[in-house]
Amino acid sequence: MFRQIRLYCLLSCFLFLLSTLQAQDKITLSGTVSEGATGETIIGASVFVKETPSIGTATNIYGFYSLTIPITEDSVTIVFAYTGLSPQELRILPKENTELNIELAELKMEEVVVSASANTEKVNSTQMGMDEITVKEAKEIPAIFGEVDIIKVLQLKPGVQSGGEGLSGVYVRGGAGDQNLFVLDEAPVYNPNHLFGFFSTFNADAVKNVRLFKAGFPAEYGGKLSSVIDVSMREGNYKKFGLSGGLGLISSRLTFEGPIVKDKGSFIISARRTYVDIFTRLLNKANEDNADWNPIPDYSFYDINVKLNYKLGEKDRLFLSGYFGKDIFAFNQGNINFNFNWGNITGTLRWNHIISPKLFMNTAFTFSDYNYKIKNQFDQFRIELGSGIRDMNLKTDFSWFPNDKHEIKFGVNTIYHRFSVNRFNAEDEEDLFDFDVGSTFDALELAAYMSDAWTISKRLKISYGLRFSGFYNQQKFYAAPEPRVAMKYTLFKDEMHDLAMKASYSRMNQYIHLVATSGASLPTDVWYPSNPNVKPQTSDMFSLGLAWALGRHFFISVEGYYKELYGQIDFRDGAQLFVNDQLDNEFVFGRGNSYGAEFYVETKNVGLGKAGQIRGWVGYTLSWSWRQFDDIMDGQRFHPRYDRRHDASIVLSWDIAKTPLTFSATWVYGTGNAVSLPVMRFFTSDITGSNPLDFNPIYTERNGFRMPAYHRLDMGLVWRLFTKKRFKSDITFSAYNVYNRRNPFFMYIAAEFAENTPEGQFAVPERFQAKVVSLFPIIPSVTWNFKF
Amino acid sequence: MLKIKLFISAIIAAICFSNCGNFERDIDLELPEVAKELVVECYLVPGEPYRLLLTETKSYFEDLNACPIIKGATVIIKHNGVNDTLQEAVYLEDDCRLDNFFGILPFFNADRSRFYNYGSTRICPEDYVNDFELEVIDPNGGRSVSAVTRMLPPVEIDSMRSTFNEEDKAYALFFLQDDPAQVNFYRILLHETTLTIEDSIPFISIAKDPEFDVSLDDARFFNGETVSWGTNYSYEEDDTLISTVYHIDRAYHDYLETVADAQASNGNPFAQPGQIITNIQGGMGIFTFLTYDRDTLIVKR
Repeated sequence: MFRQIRLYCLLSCFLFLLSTLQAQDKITLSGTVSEGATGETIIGASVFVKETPSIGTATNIYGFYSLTIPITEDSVTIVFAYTGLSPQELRILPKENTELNIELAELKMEEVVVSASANTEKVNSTQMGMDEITVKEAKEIPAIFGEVDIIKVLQLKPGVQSGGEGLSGVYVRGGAGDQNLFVLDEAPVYNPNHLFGFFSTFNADAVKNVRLFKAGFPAEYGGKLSSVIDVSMREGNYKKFGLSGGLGLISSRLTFEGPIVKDKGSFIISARRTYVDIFTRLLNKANEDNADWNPIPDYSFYDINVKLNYKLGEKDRLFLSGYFGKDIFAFNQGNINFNFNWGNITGTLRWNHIISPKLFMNTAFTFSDYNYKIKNQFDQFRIELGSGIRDMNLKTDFSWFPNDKHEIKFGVNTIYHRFSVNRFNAEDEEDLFDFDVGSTFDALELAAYMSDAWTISKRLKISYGLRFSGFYNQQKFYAAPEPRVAMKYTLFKDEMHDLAMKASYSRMNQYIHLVATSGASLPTDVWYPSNPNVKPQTSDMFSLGLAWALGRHFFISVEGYYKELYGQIDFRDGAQLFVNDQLDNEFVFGRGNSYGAEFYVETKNVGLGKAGQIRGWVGYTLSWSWRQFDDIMDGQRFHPRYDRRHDASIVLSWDIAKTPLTFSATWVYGTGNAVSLPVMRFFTSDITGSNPLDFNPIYTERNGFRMPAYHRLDMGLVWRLFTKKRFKSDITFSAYNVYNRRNPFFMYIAAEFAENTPEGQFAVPERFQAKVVSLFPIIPSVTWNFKF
Repeated sequence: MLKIKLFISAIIAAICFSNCGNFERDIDLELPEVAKELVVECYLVPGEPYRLLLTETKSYFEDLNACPIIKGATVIIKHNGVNDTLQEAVYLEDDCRLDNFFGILPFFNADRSRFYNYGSTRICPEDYVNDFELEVIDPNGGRSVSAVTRMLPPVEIDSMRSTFNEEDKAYALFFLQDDPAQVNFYRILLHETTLTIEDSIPFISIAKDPEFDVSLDDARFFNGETVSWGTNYSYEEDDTLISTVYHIDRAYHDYLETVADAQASNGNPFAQPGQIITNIQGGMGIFTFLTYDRDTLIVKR
């Protein structure tokens, strides 16, 4: 292994030296690209030479670009473009390094968006398995209860599956729910859900952009096996103050933003809160005297996103951002006081420094905390239960653009983790008993990486990199290399078509694990570190595919993948995960794999003549996923719950010409989840004093059954009001599950008794019957949004 | 349990915001053919004769009243070099059904609250050193199972006490003489007034619901500290509370836990069902012992 690493390092150094020798007779253009209306930097804007479109780049997540072009006697045209904004062309004479900070204006009404450059960039990049969602796109897609949820939009992309009806959890290419790295402005978010997974923690009003990596993971990312979901918060308006918000069926939102110093600094503060609890309290109060009334518990959640930015000079910029979110569940009646709170806090202090036109540095300190706490007071008894994870992360990343052939990234990352696992305390006022159990672990995670995106020729581009990660906990140190390789080869290119073949391989290590048995993300799930008994999880991901920019408007991709998973964690039969500070004894270890193919056709905007323009995508995934544990089913392999043979989605948005209306629709189809059902039963007499004659189910094969297929149509209509005035507003109508399909949420086998069976007495059921339980019928909703 | 409550609350919230409808429907489900296994339930109680219930597993959708009892089996309990072959109950009818148990003259346990189809006159010795072995051969079904267990001495209930709140309701708390130096497993039951309903007809109204019935692992929950267990504020002055603490082994504890998990999993979308851990080799059920301490508390101010 160490020999391989040494060889890899030598090869990297050689390529690195080679790159410096090629930097002759070139100049470098660098700077930032931002939105004209707000001054906010743009992620992924295309910058290319119009005469030679193969010479181009894209802005990084800080809006920075560096483009090295040959010195010529003739002037060249540099194009700056981003979907949804008016492209800008700049004619320059390339004689010396030049800094160009560009602002792209908003599109005028009825202007057709130029998206060809974005498609070309996708084809020409070595990056595979990457999807990007802008908030503008997300807001057009109909959502349950009208709550825009960027994570649920990601579920509409091929290779990304939800855990179940209405849930925000994602399962990427056969990976588990805890194998996704969610980062918000570089800070990890450990429980990105509200309301037991029905909503994500990301308030769309505060989010600028979301990128999902399913394969070909860039070397700067690590720590989770299956995906990276990188969420960037908006920076706020650098030019003017603004207030925006909305009123929805279950929540309201308010965002205030503006310049700290015009064009130098900005701030944004965005908040969202649900108000279900206000109505339930009123209902409870109105029924105070009703003896038959069962009071409804209080439930609410809120999010607050805050971000400050300041340009210290031409080369330095500071960012300070934070997220505070909490779910609050309370039931207080009589002498019972039950309170259950959970939430995330993240903070990021970030310094961008442009060392030279070719060298960009970002240093960030991030803080992340997730915990849940249950406090239950019953008369004199007090019970407290909680778990959590707290991170402090210091990282520095460099992007170096030595010449037009190479883009080199390198950096280091140190994370201090503190895990609180199943902290349980029970006591009474008389001190007759006082239990206090639980564990706390302190662990250190380290990583260093280097990667190079090398343009070998017009056709061939290779990205190669190595991440070396380590983890220390309880006197045990794990360290492992994570090589990453990706290539792109252009098969065919002309004015209308750009077709490339891509391949990638990446290894990922995961040192922290979620102790969760269900397909849904529950707030009581516990993060647990690797230790002498619990080894890290590892994955090897191989992808092969074609990317095709067809004409100006269409992007088509086909990707096949194979993923091998090692060190997978499950639980022994009879595992006790609740209030157990010896969780090591409950784990079993095994492996898994997944494979499949994804088909994707996307259009950003196609003109329909007088009818307007349409955008959207069609995705289809054919996949298999397996797990195998010596201690489960005698080592036979089985499908995880979220294995899905067929998964399809169609997403369309239609700007109806000459009207302020945008109509949208999504249709999804998925093979039913794999579930376990009992196939046999036996009855037991049990012992004196117990309840006799129970029918006990026997489960034989894990996840050996399939729920009925899932499919659903959602529709939405955005009606923009006062579009030409300073005060803008829209009303969004949406209908979830338009044809009112009773989609399966779970299945079970129920005992059915004769009609006259008296309650509370032992009786043999008449029969057993398989049942399917659904959650959501058709749900119409309306949301009002405003901005001025 | 907590997860189920939270889930139910989430469902209520969802229902509040959607037009109510029929959220549950029947579905046709075809279950695979699985070979039926012998099921053994045998609890060795020192000082009482051997008793054993031998049944078989059934397909989930099979007629619920179909007779699960296995006839004509050879059942042997071996201890200290002595093989005791249990006798079979007398059947008055060829057929037996769960809705007609009068066709059998079964063996009973001491308080006649449980019946068995195999029994012996041999009294189970109190032996914490030697193994008890079980062998069952079912010649009609061509099946056989075996099991081994070894008794553990009972653990005494150290004390019981009750405390009243301002609303004149009392809770009870009891403590065990637990040995923190070793991992112990317990099954704890609490009854009010009686364990069985008096004058009951055997097998029809036999049990009074326990106030609670839990199995626990002292290492997991109490972490070497005093083992204690309490009730809710449910009792009034002069109520009688009977606590029974069985000192059980890991095999019985794991069996109880996995049976409870299997029952809870059917209907809980957040659970991951597992297989039942049994100490019956080649079959299902439990072969174990019941050594216990029992104490009574009259609730007083």
